[in-house]
Amino acid sequence: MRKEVITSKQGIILIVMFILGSSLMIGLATEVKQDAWLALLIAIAAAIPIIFVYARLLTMYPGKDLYEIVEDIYGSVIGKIISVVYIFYFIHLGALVLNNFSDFIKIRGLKETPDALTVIFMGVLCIWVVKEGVEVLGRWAQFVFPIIVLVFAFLSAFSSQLIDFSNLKPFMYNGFYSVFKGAFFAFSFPFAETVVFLMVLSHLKEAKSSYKVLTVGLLIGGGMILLISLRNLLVLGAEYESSVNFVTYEAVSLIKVGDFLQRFEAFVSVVFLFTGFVKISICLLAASKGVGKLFNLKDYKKIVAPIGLLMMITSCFLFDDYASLIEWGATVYSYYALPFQIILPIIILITAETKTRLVKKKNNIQQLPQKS
Amino acid sequence: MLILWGIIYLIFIFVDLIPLFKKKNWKPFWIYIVILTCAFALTVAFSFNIKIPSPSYPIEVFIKYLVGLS
Repeated sequence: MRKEVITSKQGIILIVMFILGSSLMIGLATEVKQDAWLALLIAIAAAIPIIFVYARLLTMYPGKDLYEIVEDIYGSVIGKIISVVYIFYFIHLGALVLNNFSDFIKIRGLKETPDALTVIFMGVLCIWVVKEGVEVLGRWAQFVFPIIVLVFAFLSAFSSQLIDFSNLKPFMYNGFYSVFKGAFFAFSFPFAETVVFLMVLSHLKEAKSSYKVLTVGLLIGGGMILLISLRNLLVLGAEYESSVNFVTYEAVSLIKVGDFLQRFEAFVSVVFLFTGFVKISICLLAASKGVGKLFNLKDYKKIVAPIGLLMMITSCFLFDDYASLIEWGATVYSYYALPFQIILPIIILITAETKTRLVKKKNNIQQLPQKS
Repeated sequence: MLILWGIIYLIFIFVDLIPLFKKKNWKPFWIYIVILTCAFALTVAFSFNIKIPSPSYPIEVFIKYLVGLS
């Protein structure tokens, strides 16, 4: 079977769109109110070391994904147990994002339409693209990304007349601890969620470029989120911002240029769906690859559909309503995701480094008597 | 809603599962059947408004116990 390959540019764009994903819609660090920008800056800075951990793992084992890496390091049994844990996380994450988007469409657009209908249409599209392969997803993202940048550039320019810099005051009113807490939540959602790319970036054309791809992707995605969050804060104000469900949507809905250019929120909704589509597809891809590796299948694409259907139906019964999803996300998610995003990758990296050094030492010892 | 879900499942059976059966590709075929059956069982339960336990709540209880959140 031909190995699928994506270019570094496509990899970066996929990461940026993944980071924008649902975080753009919900809004980040809104609980720290006017200090959200500071919390986001800290979160991006904190995400860089962990991104290096992911990149180091990918460069140590070029062309391999995390499932293969853990099987190499820990052997078949423990490797498969870790794979199962990650598969569960990816299916759950994909279902959460799908749930998020179906709620968004229900609340803001199709009020009478059942959740399942939006889930079906979005889910089937994601299954389709993952079945076509990561190359198609990469090319599609490359095609769509300029549209997303253009939409946000124009809308940010249009909203400049609504900006009020007094919305940034009072600075650090709730103390540093609350900013730190906001940064912690923003770190795990969405920056450290890039752990999913440990399963995707094995398709990179040049394995060595994973440092560049992950770092540039994080910085561009983080920068865009930071700018958009700052714009939302300046336009809406901290109090109003923390009381609405879809922050960016609300901020854009206020734009009125003259009497004829208004209702731009439709553009934003489309952009949300683009980024959400990438995020769900990447989660589905990672989960399908995991199940494929678990059962030693040659081609993961054959089993994408049932996993996608499982993800779709899981998203329908995950939460009773949107409020409980948001509350769960704000209180539980960061702690729940910590082992998958930080603890396990660091343990895997330490074991991999130790193992490589031991093997090197052993080889040196074996070579010494031959030389003498 | 169950009819719509049923149509989606049928489409995937025709597009994916039957070719696997025809090619006698048994390993992916059985994995496909097992996961699809699980998903379909959940779909039927959901369509008949049977309360399915969400994984999010046990996770919430566990995390709150572990971290000491109230």
